[in-house]
Parts: sequence; C-alpha cells; structure tokens
Amino acid sequence: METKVILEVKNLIKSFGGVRAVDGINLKLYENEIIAIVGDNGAGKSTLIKIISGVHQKNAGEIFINNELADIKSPSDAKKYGIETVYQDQGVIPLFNASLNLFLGREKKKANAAGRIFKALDFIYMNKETISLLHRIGIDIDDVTTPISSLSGGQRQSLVVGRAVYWGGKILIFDEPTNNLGIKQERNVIELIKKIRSEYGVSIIVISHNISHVFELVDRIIVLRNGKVVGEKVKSETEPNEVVSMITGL
Amino acid sequence: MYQQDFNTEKNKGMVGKKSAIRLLGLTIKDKTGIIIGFVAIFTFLSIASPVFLTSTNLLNVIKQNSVTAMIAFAMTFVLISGGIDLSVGGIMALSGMIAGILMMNLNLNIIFAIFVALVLGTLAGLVNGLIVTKLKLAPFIVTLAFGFIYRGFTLLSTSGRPIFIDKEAYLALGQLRTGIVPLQVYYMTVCFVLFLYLLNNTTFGKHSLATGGDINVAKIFGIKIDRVRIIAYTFIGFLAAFSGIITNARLNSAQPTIGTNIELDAIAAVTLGGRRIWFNRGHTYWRISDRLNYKWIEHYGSRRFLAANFKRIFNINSYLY
Repeated sequence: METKVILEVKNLIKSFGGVRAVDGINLKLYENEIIAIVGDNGAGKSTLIKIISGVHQKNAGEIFINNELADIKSPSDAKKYGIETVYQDQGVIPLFNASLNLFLGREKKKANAAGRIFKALDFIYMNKETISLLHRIGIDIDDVTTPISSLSGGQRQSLVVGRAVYWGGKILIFDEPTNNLGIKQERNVIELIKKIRSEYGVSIIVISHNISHVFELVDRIIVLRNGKVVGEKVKSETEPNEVVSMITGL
Repeated sequence: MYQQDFNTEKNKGMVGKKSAIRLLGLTIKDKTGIIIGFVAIFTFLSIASPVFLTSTNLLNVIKQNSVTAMIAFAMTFVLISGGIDLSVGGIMALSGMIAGILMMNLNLNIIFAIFVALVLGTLAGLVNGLIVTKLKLAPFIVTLAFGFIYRGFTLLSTSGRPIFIDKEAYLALGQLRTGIVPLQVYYMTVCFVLFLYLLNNTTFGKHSLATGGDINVAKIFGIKIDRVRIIAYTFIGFLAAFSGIITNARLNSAQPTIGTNIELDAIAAVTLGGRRIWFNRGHTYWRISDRLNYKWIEHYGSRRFLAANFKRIFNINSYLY
C-alpha cells in the first residue's frame, strides 16, 4: 500500500550566527503516522520544528505539504497549512480560562453590531464549543470559566492538545508533550495523543527525551545529532538501546 | 482517590456561586482587603465628620478625582499590555495649553481649539505607541522623556504663566452641573462603562491581557501585539488631552502645571485594583474604590487641617493593601 507523504522537508538549513543548528535535514511524514524526533540537547530538534511551525525562518531548503511547496513565514502561515504546534511551555495565557485559551487569537465575535464595531466576544458560543471539545477528547474540567492557571498540568496539556485538533490541524507537532507532568498525567496525555491519531487521522511529530514514551507512541524514529539526521528507524526494527547509542554517538 | 472525588464534589458545589459572582466580573476573594478598607474608611469618615456623608461632598470628591479615574481606566490597557505611560501629565498640560492659546491668544473658534487639542493629544499617544513598538525602546524611558518634553513646551509657550479663559461655552465643560451632579460625573461614568466593556467583552481587552500576560505566546497565536499596544497608548493620549481641556475649564484658565504626577496617581490606582504592575488582572471596578479610598482620606485630612505628612502616611497605607 502506497501511503501519502503529507509533509516533506528537503535539505533544510538554519544558522544562528556561526552555528548551524539545522544542517541539511531531510525528512518525510506520512499520512496518519507518528514520528519521533530525538536527539541530545542542541541536536537541532527544537529549531527544526520551530522552522516547520513558522517561529523561525529557514536559511535554505524547502518544505512541502501534500506535495506542494509551502511558504511558511509566520506561525499564522503554518496554521493555514494545517500545522498546529503544542509547545513545551504549553503556549497558554495562564490568566485566561480554558475557552479563551482555546480561542486565543481566533476569538469568535458576536454576529451583531457590537461584534462588528467593538469586536465584542461571543462568550456563550466559545464556552459551548470548549465544553463540547473537552467532552469529545475526554478531558474532565468542571468549569471552563476558571483561569487555566488553576488547572493541573495534565489538564492544561490536554487542553492545548485538544486545541490543536479543534482548529483542524492535519499535522500536529508536540514539543516534549510529557515534560513537567506527573506519572498519571503523562499517561493521560499519551493516551490522548493515541486517541487523536486514530480518531482524527492526523499526522504527528513528537519531540521527546523520554525514550520509553517514544517507543510506546510512535511508528518511526528519527535521530538528530549536531543538526544532521544520523539515523532513521522504524520502531519494530530497533530497540531503545540502539536509539540511545545513536543519540549519543557512542 | 477519595481526596480527588471529594474535591470534585466540592468544586461542583462552588461552580454555581462562582459563576454568579463572575457575572459581575468580580472575583471577590482577591479584593477583600480593598473592600474592607473601603467600607472601614467610609464608615469612619461618615461618623467622624458631619460634612462627609453629604451628596455635595461626595460629588465634589468624585469631581476632583474624575480625571485621575479616567486616566486610570486608560492606563489599565497600557499596563496590562505590558507598557507604562509616564507622559500623561505632559500631554494633558500641552493639549490644554494649546486649546487655551488658540482660543484666547489667537481668538479662534472654541470647537476648533478643542478639536486641535484632542487631535494633538491623540497623536502624542500614537507617537509613544509607535516608538515603543516599532523602535522597540523601553516604554518607561520613552514616555518619561516625552512627558518632560511636552511639559517643557507647555511652560515655554507662555513662559510658565497661565492663560486666563473667559469663554463661557468652554468653561461649561468643567463647571456645568445638572442639578447637583457635575458634568465630570457623566464623563467618568461614560468612560467607566466603555472601558469595562472593552476590557471584559472585546477582542481588544483580551488581546491586551494576552500581550501583557505572555508576549511570546500572544505573538505565536497571531495576536497583533504591536497594534494592541499602539491603540492603548493612543487611547490614553486622547483621554489625557480631554482631561487637560476639562481641568482647565474647571480652573478658568489654561494652567501649565496641571496633571503633574497624575500618571503616578493613575498607575497607583490601577495597581491597587490589579495588585501588580504589568500583570494581568484588569478589573476596572476597583479603580474607583481605590481611588476614592485614599482621596477621601486626603480630603478629610485637609478639612480637618491635618498636617500634610499625616495624609501622606494614610496614602502610603492605602498603597500597601
């Protein structure tokens, strides 16, 4: 069976001053696939995904989405191409409640004159959507109007994962999705990612330090070192020790 | 497990109540100190002074503080979006003085004079905003410097002397009353309602909060952080000009020294209401009560011929909530 390539990165280069953080990376992401990008600190993982999600601009190379050349200059551009990123530091405004965070930057305005003139917000719609999304992805938040800072880390993380799906992301990027979470919450987030993949048919890139999570979640593992791809393994054909030795280069 | 279930039950009980309170935009528990202070001071002054609890007195206090309150409303947006505006006093004096010069020295139409003053104030705010966002200079320095510049021009323009104003229509802006209610009460109320609405119900309010809350997150999510901040500075410029005009109207003259330190009063009021500068919680209601809190004390103090220092101590106390 021929699977469709949904994202392809060709010969991507990004330098910061004299340092080549990303040095000619090629990678492919197939439809409904989960890949992991692993590597030591400074291997270029974060820079790579920040280029794909529009936070950094590439120096050279090409990004193809659905086999078409994509011109990603800003995070909003990336979102237009269906790339939604879940950041390590969660990307939420702590003061805002779940519904305002879900609609951050894409708020629903009222349909009436107040909405047109003052850009008044349609809280009822946003709250309703938030509640229904939370139900759909199985997150248990009693009150969508409490500030998100009073939720647990796991609930916050689940919400940002849900947000990525809500906005119709076709390619989801998770930057250390289980960082700073308790053991039980880690499990919930991992289960949520699996669920989203099977229910929404999205393709997912996970960046993680946690090799056991990587092995549980993903189909394919790409190892970076010094800004280059040093190894690419289908999960069934490798084992944690091999991956670790590729990461460290020993 | 038990603990968790217990918590959930408890939380569910709370939801109804909390939402009812939140309907009013209030989160009471954070503000208890201010409310207690407000009630205590109000009660104390009502008992201690025979003239305190009269409508004339209360309205006078509001009249004198309406300008600070309006500036505080606008300052809220500047602060919650991560900025600060120290040029308010300067803009206020310069705009007022320009209106005065145009009307009295050049004998131009009153409406034209007011219009020019408002436009200049707004432009001054816009310039602050543009410099802070596009040149990425620190708002503290930019606005402090412009405050001095505007104040300097104001003093230069008349060699530091006030201009006497005798245009009835102009003076009415600051002196007219409907019954016993001075116009200032209406200005303040309109601003209050508008700002409350903008803050709590509109994209602009939420984007301001997001910008000040976490500017990187705001940027990633496509919030136009520069535009939000420019609008905030422009707003406060406009209101500063308006405040200059009505203050001069109240004083029968264009004074070069009006609005001295008003930005600090306004920031103090916002901070008391929101607890911390450059964060996050812009609840406009409290602006008024805080404002009145220490102004009432000050007022009472001066009525009783208390030493100025004594008033200061009270003021500082109210900053410490």
